[in-house]
Amino acid sequence: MSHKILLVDDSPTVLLMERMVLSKLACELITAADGQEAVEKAEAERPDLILMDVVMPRLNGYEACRQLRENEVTRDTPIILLTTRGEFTSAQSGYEAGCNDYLTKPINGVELLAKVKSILGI
Amino acid sequence: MTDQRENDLHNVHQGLKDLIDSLRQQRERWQVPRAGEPSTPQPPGERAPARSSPPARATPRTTELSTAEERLQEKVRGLELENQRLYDEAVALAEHTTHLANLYVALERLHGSLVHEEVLTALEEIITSMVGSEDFALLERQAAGPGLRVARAHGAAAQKLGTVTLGAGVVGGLAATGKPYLGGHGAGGAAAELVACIPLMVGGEVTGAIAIFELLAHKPQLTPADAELLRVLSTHAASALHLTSARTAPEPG
Repeated sequence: MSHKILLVDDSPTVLLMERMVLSKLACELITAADGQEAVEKAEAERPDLILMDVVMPRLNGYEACRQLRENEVTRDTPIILLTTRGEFTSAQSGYEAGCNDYLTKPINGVELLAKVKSILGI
Repeated sequence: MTDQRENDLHNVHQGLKDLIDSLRQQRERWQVPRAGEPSTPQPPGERAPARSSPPARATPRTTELSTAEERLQEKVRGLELENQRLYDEAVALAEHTTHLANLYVALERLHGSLVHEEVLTALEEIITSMVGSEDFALLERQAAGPGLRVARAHGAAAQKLGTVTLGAGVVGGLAATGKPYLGGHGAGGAAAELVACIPLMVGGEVTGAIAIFELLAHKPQLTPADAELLRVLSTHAASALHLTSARTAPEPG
């Protein structure tokens, strides 16, 4: 069965990069441009994994992560946060918000692919 | 094609791993006692009884088996080395594929719009998300004269940058050379405040510049892949900005 991944970022450049890297997994890739849209799409589409930026308009990644964890439908969906902030406190905030893993930009395609494969078990 | 090659390498890598495991298992099963060692494996926790008699003399059979074991061990060592080499090659190939994907994304974004502001935004996103900087300025040549105006600026150092004169000052001087400066902070001298300065060139003429003052805190330095990306930007960002700028300029008269 094909896995579904929700990519969330307000930058079309980042979304395109993620699409390029993940295209070799033969997963269904859907996108959202901010945290609010991510929360809505996650509930409607029920992805197997969410890959989400932190700094976004309307609703940032931490807050979106919290809302996804409070929602019964998306409570157990794995979330990887992706951000330019590499400090320990930023990663800690991500884990406190409920993310499963944390990656920093610039995106390392090999690392991203390995993490996604590991979480999806493929 | 690189995907296919990568998959092939992964398959070979997995095959070698399985072969090594199987050889190890066989070796353990056939473990041959050397002269003077107990002939049967002892259960864990039990010690072999102390020998009071001198070690048994090696028979032709035990010598033969011992030589076979050494050959087998040599083969396993060779396979392990080959396995590591293939694994390293697979990782390098995956990194190269990612780099090519990045170049494709950069070109797609730069040439994917006819609106000048959108091209500037794409260039900002490329510098932030691919190169890894939040302290940089994008400069464009003014319609007349040698001035480079700051079109976009991020971070404290970049925001302090006023209008730059081509050929004057650190950024203006480096841009005027027409060659990418990728010195990093280790370069010393007046350019020490810059990580990189990339002139934007169209037809041999400087039409702007990308000045990078700092990389993200967790990124220690520019990589060879970053350098290649920045060189691509030098011509492709320049032509995309030049084209859209000409297209959106008001009609004369």
